[in-house]
Amino acid sequence: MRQGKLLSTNYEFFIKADTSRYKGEWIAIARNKIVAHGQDAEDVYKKAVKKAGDKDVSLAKVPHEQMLILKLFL
Amino acid sequence: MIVFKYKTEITSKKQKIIRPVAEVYLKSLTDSWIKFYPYIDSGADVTMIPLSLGKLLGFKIDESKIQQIGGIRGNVPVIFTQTYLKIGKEEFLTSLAWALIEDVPPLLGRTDVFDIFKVTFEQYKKVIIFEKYLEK
Repeated sequence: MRQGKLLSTNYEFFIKADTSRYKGEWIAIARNKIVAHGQDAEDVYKKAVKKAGDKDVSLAKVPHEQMLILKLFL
Repeated sequence: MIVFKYKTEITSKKQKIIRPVAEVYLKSLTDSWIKFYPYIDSGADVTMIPLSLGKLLGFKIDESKIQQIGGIRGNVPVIFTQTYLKIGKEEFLTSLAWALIEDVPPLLGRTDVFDIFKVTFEQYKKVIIFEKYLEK
């Protein structure tokens, strides 16, 4: 299936990466590598932008092992 | 059409779990786009982000607006807000539950998102297909 440029290379990296050592943490990805990690998205993002510039930083939260969300209701 | 993928995660007991992940952008109050990877959750009424991501977007806590919403792990204090969300080339205003705790996963829920996209989970193929509905 064609994706064009709709998805970034950081996304492809995240899908394939072993992120198990970062459980419960935020990680920032830039240029296909993890450039910062920690408990606070704002800190992690700012560290990553400092290292990589703001054009190509992606954020993800690595879930705890037992994450199981069946539903979230209003 | 956008084809997202499942991410394989390994538990400490070496079991594999696969989870559907999207790539989306949220617009901050300073008009910059933050790219992040929430789990796609068809069981979530609304998109939800943890505390520190909301702070990164520039949200401020107004205690008069705190509500409790229910999840499988109990109630979560949230503030409902709105922001622009971008998926692929599609940019739209969406409702958002900003969780006032950190220990929740970022979730891409149904409100607004599933009204704009037909979302098909093909777990066997490890893909999730987002197709924009044609405008009437």
